[in-house]
Amino acid sequence: MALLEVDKLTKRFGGLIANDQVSLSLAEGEIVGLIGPNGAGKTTLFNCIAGFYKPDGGSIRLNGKDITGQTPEQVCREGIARTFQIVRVFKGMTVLDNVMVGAYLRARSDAEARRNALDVLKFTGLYPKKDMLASSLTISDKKRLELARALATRPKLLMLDEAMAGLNPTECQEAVEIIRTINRAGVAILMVEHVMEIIMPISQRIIVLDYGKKIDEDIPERVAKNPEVIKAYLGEKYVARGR
Amino acid sequence: MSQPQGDITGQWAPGASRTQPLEEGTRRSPLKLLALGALLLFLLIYPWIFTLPFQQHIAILIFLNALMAVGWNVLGGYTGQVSLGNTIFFGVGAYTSAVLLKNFLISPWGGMLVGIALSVVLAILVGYPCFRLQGHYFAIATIAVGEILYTAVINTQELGAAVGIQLPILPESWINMQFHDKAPYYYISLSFLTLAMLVVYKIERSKLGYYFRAIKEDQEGARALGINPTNYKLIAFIISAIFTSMAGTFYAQYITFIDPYSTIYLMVSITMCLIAVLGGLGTLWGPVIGAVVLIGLSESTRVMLGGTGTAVDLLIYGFLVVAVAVYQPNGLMGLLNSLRRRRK
Repeated sequence: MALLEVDKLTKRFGGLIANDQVSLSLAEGEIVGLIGPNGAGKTTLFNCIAGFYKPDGGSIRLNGKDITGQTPEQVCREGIARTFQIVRVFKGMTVLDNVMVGAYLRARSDAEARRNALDVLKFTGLYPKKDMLASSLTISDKKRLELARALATRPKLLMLDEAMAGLNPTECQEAVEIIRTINRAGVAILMVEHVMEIIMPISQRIIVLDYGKKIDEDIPERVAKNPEVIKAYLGEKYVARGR
Repeated sequence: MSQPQGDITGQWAPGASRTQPLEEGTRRSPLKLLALGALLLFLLIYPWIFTLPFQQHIAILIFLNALMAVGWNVLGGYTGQVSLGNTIFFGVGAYTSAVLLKNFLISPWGGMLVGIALSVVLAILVGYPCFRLQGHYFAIATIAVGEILYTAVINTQELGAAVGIQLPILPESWINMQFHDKAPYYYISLSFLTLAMLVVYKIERSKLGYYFRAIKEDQEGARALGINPTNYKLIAFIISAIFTSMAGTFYAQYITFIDPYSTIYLMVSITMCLIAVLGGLGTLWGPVIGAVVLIGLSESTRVMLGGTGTAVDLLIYGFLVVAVAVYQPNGLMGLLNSLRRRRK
């Protein structure tokens, strides 16, 4: 059984159809990349799955359980954690306190929350900075903190919305390593990313959205050669040259 | 399906941190404990050193206002929801015990418990719809709720309408919570404040405290971590209501006269808010420091300027609040902390 099943999900904003009957599924322990040009509806899809938007049609199932239209907090309890495109760390709290907030979801005591938070901090390499205020971190560390915080809720599925945006190549490489390790620990990952050099090697499958519709879903090598995808990204004339 | 199947902790040495010594910061420094003990000892013997009623009266006012501000701070400071209607709980606390004492001779202690229960119900009734609103809209809605209760009491003969209620003067006893001396009032208000601060101290270090602050920092971010903001705001509101209601009952017993203007008026709400803001939002000691400064100011201007000095204290206080907002948004506690850091 698939971990996540999205079936014919539709989301409209007034006259604009941001997601048009999008279907996708994710197996346990998989890494799936979600790509598409700006405005293709990737973040909208994320927001629908994570409960921030109520879809206008279709269904979302996690482990066979219907979670369509649940609130973000319910979805998180079910086992889906997310990061945001624009970082939303708790700026006035320390790094440790940020992760503690996430860890409290599954912890039965303060000590357990603290222990789990410290473990996650060590794992993500933020431990030396645990007493710093989140607002004083670099953008790369803020993204990492958001990842750590989401991880502390012990998700089955982690959704990363442009986790590498604004990072330099070294930081990107570190982030990729962290994501791989998280995945090896049994967490499925659905990630939106614009940097192709990152998402292509890391993903087992790629889903391509354009104008709200799914136009392709395949292994990375084949997606990169699909004329439809090239057209969506670069325009008509590059398709001919590609051939 | 509550626990995720892939136990991710297994990958990075579970409990590796367990063997480590306690983190810095959680350890209480002996100096701090000593200072706290000295302060407590001083407060306990204060009525023997300062025997004048006026001196004890000021201390009582400080404790009372600090108690209200500590309550306000749970919702306004820690959770970031500015309520300008907390006076309703003060009013409910004062009126409930006063009416029960006057009409049925029920001990104020029992009246206080009934008042707390009513305040909790009121907090849920008001909080549930109002917490759908955010920021300024929430603040405005709470002003409206306060005004509604104010107007309602003014127009209710059974509650003394605009004239208020004069409490019956009963024989001095702990059961009646009435005394000739001020010292018992001093100890009652001190213990109420201590109790409230202990509760807040516990909250600060627990899941509640973390969730409150997360909601204040970023509500959407908090929701993504499984926090239901409305539930936790309601909890904060209820805690806030309990402390404020206790303060209301104490006020009624201490002054033995209550009227809508002094217990349910908007100014009461604003005073709580000002004290917490000046002292330091979301800090344990902020409301206490704020109360010391405000009561100190208002009483000293009254002594120095007499009747002509009405509102001069608020003038100075307003100036202080503006100064704090501009230069040190974390309040006097923030100022103390930054001074301490600089010395290090």
